Amino acid sequence: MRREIRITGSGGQGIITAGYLLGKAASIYDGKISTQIQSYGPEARGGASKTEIIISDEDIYYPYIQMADIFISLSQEAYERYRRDVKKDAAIFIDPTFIRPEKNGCYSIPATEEAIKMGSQIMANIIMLGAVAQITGVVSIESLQKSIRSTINERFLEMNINALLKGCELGKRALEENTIKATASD
Amino acid sequence: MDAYDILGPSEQYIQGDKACVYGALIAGCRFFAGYPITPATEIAEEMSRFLPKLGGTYIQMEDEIASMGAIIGASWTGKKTMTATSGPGFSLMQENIGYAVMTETPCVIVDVQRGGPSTGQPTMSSQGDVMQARYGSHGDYEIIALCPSSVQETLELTIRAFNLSEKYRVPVILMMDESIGHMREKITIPKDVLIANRSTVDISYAYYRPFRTGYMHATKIPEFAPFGSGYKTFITGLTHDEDGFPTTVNPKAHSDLIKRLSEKITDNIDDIFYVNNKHLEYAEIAVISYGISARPSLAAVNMAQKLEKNVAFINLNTLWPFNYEFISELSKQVEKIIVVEMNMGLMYHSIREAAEGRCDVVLVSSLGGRVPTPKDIVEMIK
Amino acid sequence: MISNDEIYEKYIRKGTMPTILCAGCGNGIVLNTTLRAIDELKKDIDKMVFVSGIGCSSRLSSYIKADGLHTTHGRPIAFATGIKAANPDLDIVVFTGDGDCAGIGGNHLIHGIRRNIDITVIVLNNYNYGMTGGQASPTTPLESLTTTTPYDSFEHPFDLSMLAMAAGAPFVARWTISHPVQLVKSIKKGLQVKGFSFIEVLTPCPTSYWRRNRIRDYEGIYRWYKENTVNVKRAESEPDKICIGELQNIQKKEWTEQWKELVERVSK
Repeated sequence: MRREIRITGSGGQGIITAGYLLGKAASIYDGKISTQIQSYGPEARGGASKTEIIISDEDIYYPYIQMADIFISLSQEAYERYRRDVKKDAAIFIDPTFIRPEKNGCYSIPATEEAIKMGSQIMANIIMLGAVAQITGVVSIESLQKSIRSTINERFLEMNINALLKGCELGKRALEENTIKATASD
Repeated sequence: MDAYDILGPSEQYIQGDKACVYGALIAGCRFFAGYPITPATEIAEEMSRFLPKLGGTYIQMEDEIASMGAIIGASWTGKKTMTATSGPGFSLMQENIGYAVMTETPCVIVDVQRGGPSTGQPTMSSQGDVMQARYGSHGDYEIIALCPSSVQETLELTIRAFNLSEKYRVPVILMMDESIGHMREKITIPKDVLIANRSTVDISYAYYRPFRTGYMHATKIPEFAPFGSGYKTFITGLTHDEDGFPTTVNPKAHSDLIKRLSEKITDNIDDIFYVNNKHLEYAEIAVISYGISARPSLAAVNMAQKLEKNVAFINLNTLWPFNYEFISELSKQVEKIIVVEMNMGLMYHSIREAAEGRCDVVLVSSLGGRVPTPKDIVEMIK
Repeated sequence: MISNDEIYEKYIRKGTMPTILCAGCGNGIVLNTTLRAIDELKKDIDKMVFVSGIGCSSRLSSYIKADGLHTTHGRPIAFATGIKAANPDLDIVVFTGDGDCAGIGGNHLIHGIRRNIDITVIVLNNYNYGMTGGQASPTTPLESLTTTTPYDSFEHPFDLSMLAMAAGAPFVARWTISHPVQLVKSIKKGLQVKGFSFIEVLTPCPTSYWRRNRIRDYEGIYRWYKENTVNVKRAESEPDKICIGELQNIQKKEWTEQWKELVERVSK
């Protein structure tokens, strides 16, 4: 099965890192095939940032998104710019600190809020990854952990693992609270 | 220290640019000169990180002209050398690429293609430089250009680029594109790789003539005496005789030289030319592509196969020298050749020339950095 | 002192003789003085590479029985940088001209100096593009006649030695070809300095430059050099003249030494 994931946000939020960790977890540790591409703007900080990851059981010929299965956004600007070519039944993840939840239902993951509570706002990307993995199962949590351990500098490792676990917890809670179609009855 | 000692785990999730560096280091590249340019900068960055650990040399030059000059100079000390750039820098390198052809200097040039002409689209993919790779420098010559379609292939073809460059004493151009350069995929670092080295001189100084061929070995490739080895080799970009001395107004000397420089490539096309085929045997239609666009082409061929179409896929991993015979044979077999390129049709011309009207040759062109989708291509197969 | 015949026997490729140089050209004197300096230092010629660009000056590399790289126009310093960086055991001499070094190759000159790579650059400044028949160059003196300044040249010329000094070259010297003894001494120093050495030689082009500028005999050309130059020691009294002599000699860290240190540091 081929799954197409787009992660978006503003430059500096660790969007590309999140994409890399996700792709690496799938291809190196889950034994799947994966590609990761990223949009390059002239700005390294600020501006809308985007990465696209394809995860599949078979060879990936076309490494770009045709219709996304999972769409993740951590900033309003990126949300507006990149919320296109997304399947109707796609899993949508937003950070409510920056983006108003969609009317038709989406996963509202307070990643930035929790990251600030942990004492480091830049952990929001990892928290979001934990929630995405927990809810969609697109990669295993164990592989994500391995991906983080083999990538992140030792000094920041504990914080990143904690962030990932926090994200899983938020994911579980979101599922339990059944936020999926919270407003579907509207 | 050995390259394998510092490259890390055998399976990695990395960008094409980095895989190119891995391939170069495994092939024995120990000198890199370059100048920053999107989307090839990562190659210089990784080289600057790895080369000192291997006792090699990294130098950032003042421009791409100097980068090309430096890798030619360094190659004459016997080192395997490389530079990497993109369109605008590739344009600047052309004169010295011609110099490397004329002086038979082994070296590898990586062009991570972006949208042109001029500054164009620095962060977007393109295949607009393939004719420049072949004809960019002035005068008559043959050159080798390889083109990868995946991160793994980038690593492998970089090794192949060095091997061919050493074997045939010719600059070899690795034609990447932004998509392949910046895309991450899993690679497996190959072990027990076949590595070629230039054949060095094994004749005494008294009998040594730097550009004489067919004397010690039955080839059109001269033996190499690095600077500092006592062979007092003089190298010039002027037309030269077997002693390497300028002979600029002798028509025979010039024609003998440029014919040999071309023939040492064309005579060995079977060794140099390498493509990846699928479903060729019973094909009635062939889809030819290379680089990133080969991937949706293969996806389209697989889709068409499911619709019971007899379609072949050909990934032109060797762009130059162009194998006219291969395309000519293909044109006798199939009814239609579909060429998929991210330009306004460049390899399309050579393919049409080789097909000589025996079959239809149609072009799927995609511009602006947009990689064609499998659907775009399937439409043409139907 | 080694005789000219001995220099010829020991260092010249006989197959390349006679040279392409015109009668009265000063480039032969530069070749002679360079080889003398090498001989006096007892350099191993097999560990030297003579690199040059394009132009009359740049033909000198082909006449020496040693490794030589006759490169593209303006780029010898870039090629030489590659050779030296790849094999620091080799001694590199670059022959270049005013067009090659200050015109098309000016950027490589200032960056070679900035990097302070250990090469010895000998610039044969003859005030014009001699090989192509005498066009104006970046060092053509004001109000000169050349084939491309038929009504006098008005562009301000470069003072190459001052440029090299300002860019920070550790060793800079300038002489005319009527100072062969001093020139040998400066080339020897340049070869011994660990770093970028810049030696400018004012050398006449009687065929293309001086003939058009109304000096048609060798005595006249040499008189012009004598009247228009002043030794650096007396430069203050005659500020309008071209300053010759040993102009700069400073200590500076060299590129290949620094690279070696870096390699040792990171490969631990």
